[in-house]
Amino acid sequence: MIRLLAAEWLGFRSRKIVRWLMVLTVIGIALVGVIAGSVSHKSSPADLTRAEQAYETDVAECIRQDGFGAELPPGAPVEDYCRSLFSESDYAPDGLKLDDLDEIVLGAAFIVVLIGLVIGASMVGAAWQSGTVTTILTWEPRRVRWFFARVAVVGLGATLVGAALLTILAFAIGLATALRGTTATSTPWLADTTLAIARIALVGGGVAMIGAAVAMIGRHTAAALGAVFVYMAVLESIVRGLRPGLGRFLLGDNIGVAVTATRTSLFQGESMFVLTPQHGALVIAVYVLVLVGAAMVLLRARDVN
Amino acid sequence: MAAVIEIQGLRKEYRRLRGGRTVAVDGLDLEVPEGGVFGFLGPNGAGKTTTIRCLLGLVAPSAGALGMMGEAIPTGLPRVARRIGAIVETPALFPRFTGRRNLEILARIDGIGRSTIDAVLERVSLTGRAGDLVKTYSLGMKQRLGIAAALLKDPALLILDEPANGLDPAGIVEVRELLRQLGAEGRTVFISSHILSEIQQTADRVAILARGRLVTSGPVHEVLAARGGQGLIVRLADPDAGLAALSEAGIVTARHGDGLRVDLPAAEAERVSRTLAARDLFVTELRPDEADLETVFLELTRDPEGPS
Repeated sequence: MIRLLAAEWLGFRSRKIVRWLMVLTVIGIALVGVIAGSVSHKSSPADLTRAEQAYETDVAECIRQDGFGAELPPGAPVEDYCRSLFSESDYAPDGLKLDDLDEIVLGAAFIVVLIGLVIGASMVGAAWQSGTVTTILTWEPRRVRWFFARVAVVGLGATLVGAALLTILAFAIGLATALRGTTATSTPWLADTTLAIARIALVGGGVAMIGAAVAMIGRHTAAALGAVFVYMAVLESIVRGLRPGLGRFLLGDNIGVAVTATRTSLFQGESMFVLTPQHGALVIAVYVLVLVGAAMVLLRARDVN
Repeated sequence: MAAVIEIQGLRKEYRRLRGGRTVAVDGLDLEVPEGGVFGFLGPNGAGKTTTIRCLLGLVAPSAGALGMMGEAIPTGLPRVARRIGAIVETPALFPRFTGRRNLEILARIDGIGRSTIDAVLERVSLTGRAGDLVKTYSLGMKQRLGIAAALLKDPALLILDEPANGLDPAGIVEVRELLRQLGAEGRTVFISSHILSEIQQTADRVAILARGRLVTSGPVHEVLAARGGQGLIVRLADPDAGLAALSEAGIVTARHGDGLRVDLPAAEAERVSRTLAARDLFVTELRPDEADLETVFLELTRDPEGPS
């Protein structure tokens, strides 16, 4: 199995589409960094003083009004409560801020997930179109074993590609912020950004496996991309419109929740459904397992012509 | 002689989209002995490629039993795949990878080293182009790369579907020599082809398939002799005198172009030569009257319902 994985990994690394997607995205990231840096500006000491004063004024007002009437536990300092209400970064001058880095990274989530889908679909679809499935199966006739290796490599590869691209993005924006933005922070920006990168990259890997599974079922890259697009953009939209509560089972909603790590509430009539990041991750995993399982069953059952 | 390929009652049907079924292979029985080159012949649509796909576990038979190297197929295929090299139809390789990278990916599956890759590239004369993308290769180069891929495993059994497809005359000769060498090394080379002259020059044994059924099989010379009838072709300076001499000796003889055709088996060629020499007539050519493989093939694969 290790040899098979090694062979698949070599194939993955050699794929031109992976390289091209990475090159194009890095170029895009560089442009974003340059544009973001050019429209931002480094805060002057006066700007920072004004922001600090505004923050302190709001905190003082909160303290004066006893935390705006909040019911605090006995002995709890009102000042701590008031400072927790306001974030210093919200008062920072406009422009790039390190505290916003995780938000910027989250903004790139759609592209990374899309790249994962394209990589997954093309890794399997191209093998059918070029006929290399036949060649590989003359070397490894255990079809399920081969497909398992390919899906594992696709998932791992797409995750690593996504993580690499987001890290480059974060580095580029971080650099632009250091040069022409606000580096004063009031949040654990590094941990938030790292976790955001990890979540997006993992979801991208999962979506890549979904793309690979659909391409295995359809035996074609374009058919797989088309099917996933129609499902997510059309079918899920219709379901979401008709029965919002079913959003808890839809891929799109759960990808959103898993990537942003925020709870979302869905309302349908009198009912309310809360989507948690854990729920989102679980639903994505179920989609991956069901589709990969279906692809394996069909690969075993159908002739390879 | 042990059989490396055994096929009994193989049948493969495909469902048509608009109902009904197409029978690609219809009760095929075949045994391929170990060693040498075995030609698997048949017109387009005869079921050759389907048979090969069934052997390689790519297509599930509708009925019948298959075996290779003592293992039932497809269940035992993983145990013998390491010893079988195969090309099915046009070699399917990654067009956007180099020839070498294609081989490296396959080699990694079996833990085959770089030196073996170099050796097979050398053997198919592709060393100089190994670093080029496969999409820039001619069809003949792709065929050679496919053969190189099949040879990577140092296989005991090679299954090659139309290996001479797309090759130029020099390439055909090269592949012919390569296949002969491989057969002479003790490997079994199972070739499907429609280039009959190639098979006649390369194969030790043949099987001819028509409409999904086996119509004949055996050593090439036996298949040819069985269909060509018994006879000898004689050429000499004075064919009329030769005709008279042989007829007087009680040998059934007839004019055949600018020579004679004698109705005797090849084993009695000496009698013809001796009879003529006794009359001071000396042969310039004396050979068995065999049909070539093409004639036999066309005769055996003729569609009985088609134009005669």
